[in-house]
Amino acid sequence: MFIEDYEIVVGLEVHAQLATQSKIFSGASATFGGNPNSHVDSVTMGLPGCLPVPNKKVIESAIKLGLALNCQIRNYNRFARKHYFYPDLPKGYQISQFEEPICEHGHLNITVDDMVRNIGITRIHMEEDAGKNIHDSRTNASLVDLNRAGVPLLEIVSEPDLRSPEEASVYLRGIRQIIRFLGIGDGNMEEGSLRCDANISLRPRGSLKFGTRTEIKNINSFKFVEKAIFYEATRQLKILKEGGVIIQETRLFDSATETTRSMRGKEGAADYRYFPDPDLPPLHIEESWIQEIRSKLPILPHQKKVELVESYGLTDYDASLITSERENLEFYEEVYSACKNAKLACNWMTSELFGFLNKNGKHLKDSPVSAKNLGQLIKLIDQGILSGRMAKDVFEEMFETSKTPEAIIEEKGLKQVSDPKEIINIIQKVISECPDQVRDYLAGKEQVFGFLVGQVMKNSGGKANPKLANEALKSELQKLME
Amino acid sequence: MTNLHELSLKQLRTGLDNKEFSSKELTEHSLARIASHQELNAFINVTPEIALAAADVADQKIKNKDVKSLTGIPLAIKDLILTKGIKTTCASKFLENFVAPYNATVIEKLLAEDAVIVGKTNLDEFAMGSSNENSAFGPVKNPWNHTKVPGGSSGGSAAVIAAGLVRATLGTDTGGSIRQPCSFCSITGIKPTYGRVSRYGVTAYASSLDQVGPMAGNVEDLAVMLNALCGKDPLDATSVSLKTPDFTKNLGQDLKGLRVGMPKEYFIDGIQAEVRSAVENAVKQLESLGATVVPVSLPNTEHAVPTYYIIAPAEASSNLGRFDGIRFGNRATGCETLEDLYCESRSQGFGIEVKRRIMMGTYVLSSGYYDAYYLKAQKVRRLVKNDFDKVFAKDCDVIASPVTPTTAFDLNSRVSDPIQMYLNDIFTIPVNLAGLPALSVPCGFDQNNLPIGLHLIGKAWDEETLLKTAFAYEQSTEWSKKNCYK
Amino acid sequence: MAMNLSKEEVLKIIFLARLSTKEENLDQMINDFNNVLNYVDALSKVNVDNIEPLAHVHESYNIYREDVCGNGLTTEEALLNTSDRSGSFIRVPLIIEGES
Repeated sequence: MFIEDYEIVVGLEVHAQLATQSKIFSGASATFGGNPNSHVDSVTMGLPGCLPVPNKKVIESAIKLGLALNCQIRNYNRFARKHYFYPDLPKGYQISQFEEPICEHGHLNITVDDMVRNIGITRIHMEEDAGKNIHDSRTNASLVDLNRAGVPLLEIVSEPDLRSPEEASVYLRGIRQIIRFLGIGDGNMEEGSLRCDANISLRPRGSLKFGTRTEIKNINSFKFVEKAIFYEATRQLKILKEGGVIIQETRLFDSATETTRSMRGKEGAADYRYFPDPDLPPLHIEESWIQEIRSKLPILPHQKKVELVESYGLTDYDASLITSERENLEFYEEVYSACKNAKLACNWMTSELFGFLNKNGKHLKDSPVSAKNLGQLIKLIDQGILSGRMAKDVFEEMFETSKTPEAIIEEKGLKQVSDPKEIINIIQKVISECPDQVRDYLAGKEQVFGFLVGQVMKNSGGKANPKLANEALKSELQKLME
Repeated sequence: MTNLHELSLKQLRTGLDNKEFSSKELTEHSLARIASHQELNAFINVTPEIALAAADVADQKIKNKDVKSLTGIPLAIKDLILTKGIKTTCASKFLENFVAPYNATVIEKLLAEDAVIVGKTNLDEFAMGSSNENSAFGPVKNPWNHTKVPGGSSGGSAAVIAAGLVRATLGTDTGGSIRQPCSFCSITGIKPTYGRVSRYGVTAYASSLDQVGPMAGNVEDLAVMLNALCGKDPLDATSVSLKTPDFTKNLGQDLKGLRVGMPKEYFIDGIQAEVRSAVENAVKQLESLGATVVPVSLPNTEHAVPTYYIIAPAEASSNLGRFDGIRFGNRATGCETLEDLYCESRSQGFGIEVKRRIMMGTYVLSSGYYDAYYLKAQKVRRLVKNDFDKVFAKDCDVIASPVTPTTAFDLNSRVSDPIQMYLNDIFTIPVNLAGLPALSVPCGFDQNNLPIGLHLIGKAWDEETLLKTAFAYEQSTEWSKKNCYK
Repeated sequence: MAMNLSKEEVLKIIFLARLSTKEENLDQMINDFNNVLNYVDALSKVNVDNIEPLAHVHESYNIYREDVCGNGLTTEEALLNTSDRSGSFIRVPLIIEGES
């Protein structure tokens, strides 16, 4: 901890875009990108007379996330209007939820430095995203693109339970991991589908009272979460140490300078005038719907991790690596189901495959080696058909060509010789071709055994099962001694 | 052919189908009358080319015996309702040049019935007003007396029927905006149950109160129009999935067993004596037609107007936030900052009454005042609704009352006194707060030959009883037959 | 009873509503505002103990749409009424400092 006398108190507001086809309140495309103002309709443009109709998938996604984060789902909840004027907000209000959010009172466990901490989730609510303003000081104008306006968002508000930049970052990763496991969003911070604001304050160690907080906006990468909190805490500490007072305000994180600066002027005037949206009848979420969603929830990363350690015998580290991403886990499970060897599956995936992918700058989803083929390769090792050495060569070929291991073995005639008769034939041949070395061995010079094994392997074209070859050579030489 | 404007929708249907006249002739007749009645200022925009093209298509369909309820019949639309490719101004300078890229659902429904739209009618800006004097395009004159207001906010839609320019129109009703001008102009109009008709594409004034409805020369025409408009709209989450009955079906049934409630709070001091006696006579007439009359009480009536003037402005201030000058509508020039652009565009574009309501609405929703005003008003709104629920649960099937306390007042007589203007809607506002259906049907004239309307309020979703009652009354009196056609 | 709002207080509301504080008939507006406010203040004496607020007049719930696209506008239709454009963008005066 860099601050000796103070404790950092952080709460995060995470905005997660949902991966829906259409927008939260209308049928315009919710896809990322597109030409400016092309993913729009009358509702998105905020034209007179337009009315919102909620997207069922958004409500379903909110319930999924609520259940995954141990929240209570409010049976009765509704949408409210939040008013402010801004060019990227077409109606002059954002449809959000205020007093009656869909999920409340949840928590997420995070592990930092082997300590498990329970982070409270105050609420999750549904709302619409705003459009984008691009600022061009050269022409003294800002340009507005409303493609993103109306894209569904879930806002996940934590309790002020986080105590360090690291914890905040781990928490944010945890939220992202769950969103991706649930398949409700992609959690992509670069494209802005996951964004985060941080409320930060300091208090003297041991104090129960919270200090004055500032809200940091515009944090758009995992790296910057830690940097922004670190910078802001340092800034506040400096003020406190000099006997100053923290002003409650909204500050903007500048990723270029890795500092925060005050957003003056916006604060005094803000009065959002929330009221229940008269265009949207309330939601009355039936218990049966919640149960139905609960019964279809995929197994979540932390649950899966426990299973991997306890039933599959993986190390904690490996299990974390496998469950860090939904696609890792899915890939792993497919490898496992093809080979039924949990440890080999993990080793081959995390060392060989990840190594090759890394070297080639590829993501798992673009892997030229399919999970099924990797599983098949491991099975061949397990069955003794391939030696570890041969398997590495086959794997390289698989990575190059995407072919099945069988096809490569067939093409290159790489099959390991494990037939004892065939091996004994080769041994007999070596014994008869190397009488001097055999004599030396029989005379007690055990070090020539290595040479003889080498000859057997060489005669088999490298394909003899080394373990079998070893054992068989020993027993054949033994016979000669008797 | 000179009396085409005196025919009802039913007569027009028969005439068109029997080829006594074509839709083109009918439309030309309507356009000619519109042109010769310009002094009424009832239209903001007339669209002859579009209308005549639609009439040609309709004539072809009639020839092919492909006929729907409104095929070839000229109609006019309150200019609050969006029409694709035709300007929709909401009588606001802000939207002077606004052309909607889509049709309101009710327009799609009328077009699906092959109606001919001849133009967009004048109104109070954004439907905020009771006299049609709050229009950026000038006030509408009452066809019965050009020194009087036609009522509002659907003043243009009422005046064009009263003057015999078209036979039916669309209006909207947030606090009486269909019924009050109908009463002032001696025509009929119905505000359907909230949720009966789609609001999609209707510029929102107060979303929880707004409802589109038809206006027409008689009750049967009203029922024909209502048939065309109703139904669940997937684009409006507040429109309700209920089967639409054929509203013409029960017309002509007698009123035996019908219980008509007379709320004592609606027959109070301060009502013009002739209005009171005309409505009391109308109720007697219903009695003579077989209905029984029961005194009822709606004790929270007096709170309805202040409740409305909190809730409606609150919603309006929110709904008008989109008029910011950025994507459409008036954009002030020469503004260097964004804040200037917002303030100037809106200040230039909105009229005084709209500004008043935006300010009031902004205030009652603002931090520190929400509970005392907005939340309180929502609670009182429930009291007002509970009054109706109680009375309809045990006492009566319809409620009869005056539509307004007075007949049409002089132009310019009340514009400077907002509260006096607001009190004009004292009998119509409670209906919107409770989401109920209600209609206005002519029931007499005062000594200055100004029309008086009978207000009938029904149970939620029971427009049929309202129409049946109004039809029986209309058929047994001469009031609806009187006209002021020139 | 409601008190009249001061000019400064009304000006704050005018700005919050993004109307102009430079209106020519500003005093009249402030006066009208206070009159109406005093009028609606009649509600303060109504007893609403144990009364739930009414936000939606019919008790309808759970109106959803399925997650499918449709009813879109082309960029040209969407920007049909936009007076200041830069290509397919909507142009506004430079936003000085803000959230986005």
